[in-house]
Amino acid sequence: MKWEKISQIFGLSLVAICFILALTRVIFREVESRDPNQITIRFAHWQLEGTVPRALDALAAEYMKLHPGIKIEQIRIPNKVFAMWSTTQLVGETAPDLIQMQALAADKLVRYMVPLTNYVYEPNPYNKGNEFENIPWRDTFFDGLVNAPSYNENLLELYGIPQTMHVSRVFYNKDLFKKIMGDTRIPQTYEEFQALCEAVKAYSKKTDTIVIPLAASRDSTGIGWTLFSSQTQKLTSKTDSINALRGKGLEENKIAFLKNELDIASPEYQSGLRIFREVSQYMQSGYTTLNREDAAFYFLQGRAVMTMAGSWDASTYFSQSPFNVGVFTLPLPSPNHPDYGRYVLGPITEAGLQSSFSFGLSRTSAHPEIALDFLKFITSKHGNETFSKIAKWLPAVRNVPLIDIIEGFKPVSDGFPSGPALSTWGPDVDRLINNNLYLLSDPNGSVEKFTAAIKPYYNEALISEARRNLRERLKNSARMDSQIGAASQLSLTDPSDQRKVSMLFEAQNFNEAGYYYVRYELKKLGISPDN
Amino acid sequence: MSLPISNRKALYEWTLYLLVLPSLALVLLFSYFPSISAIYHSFFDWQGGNMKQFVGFANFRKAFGDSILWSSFVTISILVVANVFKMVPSIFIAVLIHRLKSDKWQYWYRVILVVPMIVPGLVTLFIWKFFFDPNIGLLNSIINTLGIKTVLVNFDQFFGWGVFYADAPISWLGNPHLIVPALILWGFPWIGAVGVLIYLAGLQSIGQEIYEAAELDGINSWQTFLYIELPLIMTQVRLSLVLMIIGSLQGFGLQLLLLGPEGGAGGAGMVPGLWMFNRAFQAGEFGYACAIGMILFIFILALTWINDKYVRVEK
Repeated sequence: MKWEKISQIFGLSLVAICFILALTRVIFREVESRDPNQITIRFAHWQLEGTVPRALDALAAEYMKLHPGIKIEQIRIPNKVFAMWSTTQLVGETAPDLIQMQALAADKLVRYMVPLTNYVYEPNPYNKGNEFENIPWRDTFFDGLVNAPSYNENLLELYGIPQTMHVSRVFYNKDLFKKIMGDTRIPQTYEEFQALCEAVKAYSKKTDTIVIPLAASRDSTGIGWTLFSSQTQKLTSKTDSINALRGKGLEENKIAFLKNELDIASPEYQSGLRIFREVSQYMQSGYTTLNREDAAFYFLQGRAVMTMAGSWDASTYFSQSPFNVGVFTLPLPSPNHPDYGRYVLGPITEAGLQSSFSFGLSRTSAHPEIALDFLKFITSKHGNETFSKIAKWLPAVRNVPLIDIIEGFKPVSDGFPSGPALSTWGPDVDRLINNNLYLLSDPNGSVEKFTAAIKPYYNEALISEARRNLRERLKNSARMDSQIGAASQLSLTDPSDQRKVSMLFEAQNFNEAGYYYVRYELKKLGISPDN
Repeated sequence: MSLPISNRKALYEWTLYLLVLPSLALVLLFSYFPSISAIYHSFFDWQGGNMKQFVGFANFRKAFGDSILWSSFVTISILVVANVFKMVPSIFIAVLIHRLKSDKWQYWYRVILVVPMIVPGLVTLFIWKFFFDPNIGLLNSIINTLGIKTVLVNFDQFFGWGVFYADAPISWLGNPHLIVPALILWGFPWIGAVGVLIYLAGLQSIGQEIYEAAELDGINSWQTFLYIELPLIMTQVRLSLVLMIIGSLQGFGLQLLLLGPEGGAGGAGMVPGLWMFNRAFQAGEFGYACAIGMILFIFILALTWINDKYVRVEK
């Protein structure tokens, strides 16, 4: 009886303490946000790697020191839920002031984000005293802000300002490599890379330990697709009618497929699939069901000699592995390779690399001018240098010195563009490819089985993507019409708005041209452009 | 049964209605408004923003011709049937705990069952994901240690399944033929704490005199279960059945975490809820996803009605 009473009092006290603690926290938070002199700027992103939030915290602290009365809050959202979270926040008009840009559809950009195009032609005030003092903000970035997700080519508007650029590299376990390969150099050619993979397999068999050559996952099939795109390189120049020396646009490639100018059964695509399958045999069984964290787990546990990952993972691998980690660029087959060489132009260039980790300004921001000022601060030369140093990520701003640890990620500027891909052309194509990827990686699978599974549905999926694109373009046009109407009216009284009207017309023309191009080509092929 | 009151008296007690109003408003706002909004948006080509185009029944017509949606219903039907069988261990465990003579031990067994409930569902899912891992997972380790894999490989070679290979670990979630069996195996030994507690509540309401009468009639333990306990907890079983059907049809977290938003190899793990999620958040077709939600709602309603009408409990 006594014990029962004690336990009851204990339980009740526990509940009461928890309630009081929670209440205190809420009350204090409320008091904080009600301070009339304090302005709070919130920014959200999904980069949870320890070094990135630390770098952003450091920048926020520095900014708050410069601007007393302004509070900067960092919101970290896990990658898996960021798409859903950001969509609901934007739709619900509760989005933070600055939000990490991802592949937001044009209709969402127009509706929820502030175009930053007009601001980037002015110098960044936080670059005062350095070589960029009189240079437009845009030109301080290594890519001139011409890439997605910062820039939307359909809307001809800039919506985000980037912090970094990313490259993919092969991370390898230096200790294990030395144990298996002795003093052999890291692979410089595809043949050497294959030899390394075979040596790891032999080592695993000989020592009866679970060590695989490559840790992979369904999120990091990059190694397979990079090798694949080396095989379709020559197709780029074959279909590049204006010798633009770059890959065609997404829509053009889709249409090229529908016109049979590109074909999965073509020797180039088949060779690409063959090399994909070949490298898949060096990955862990069932990798198509694993995700990025699983691959990292394998590698960090010393169960894999290599893994391919983006430079964004560098800090994680370097700081968390109990062994020495090195990086090298994935060697692709050279034009002299006996099996794969005939379709290869040469090494794939990273000169056209896109900047990333861009922040966009939400339309619902209560203090857009301050949010923009903070964005200018963190993307100044000093801000980006601080970010790069602490986050251990490549900088997005020119002339920012690289720290030692990220030297291996310096983009390769020489080489040729990669060839057209097979996936990443929209959700329906991706689903078709990913659902059948096991046919390429299974011991019982084959290139022929994969092709047979994909080919009958591939065009159907492409048509679905093309129709989706048409719907989006049509909605964008409708939205832009009202913007053009409003801007035209304003320009009657304020001539400075003429430039805006001209830009809107240009964007509208571009959007409509894209719409009619796809519609015309579909109709010419006897395919209904509507559902 | 409550006593009838006059209209005059009911109107006189208007303050009571006022007290009910806040709860009613919250229920309408958080439960009914999203559902009504989903019905409304299912008639639009809507991508989640404020701009939408009325398309009438086009989303429903599209759904009727959507082979992935209907094959996902086949998959979920298999899982629902399997889940019916997966209810059995919980019933047995409830009976075993109920028959324990010591109240103290009954209490401790209940605690043991309830404690895992505080582990977040996501953690449980991650543990199962690790369990199924082809290379370092527990399931394959057990299968290899017990020599079951050799048997499976021999069967495979004999029947030509193309699923089990001697020189490769079993890819439970990477082979379309193994995905549904793996989803059925999930949760083994299928003892659900909530289910056990519901059945226990039912068992505890059985009067001692019934057991004594049965004992006098000389029935054995199995007969006690079959003729007394099971019929008398059928109300609880029926409740569990309804909750299980609704949960299974609506749920997709398991498939999303284990297989990804595309339903895994061959799309074998695609269920209607996951397809709805896929269309909304992968393809940005929110209007179509709402239409799928409506179809799902009709299925759940129909199954609940069938359950209510035909799964009778006669005591």
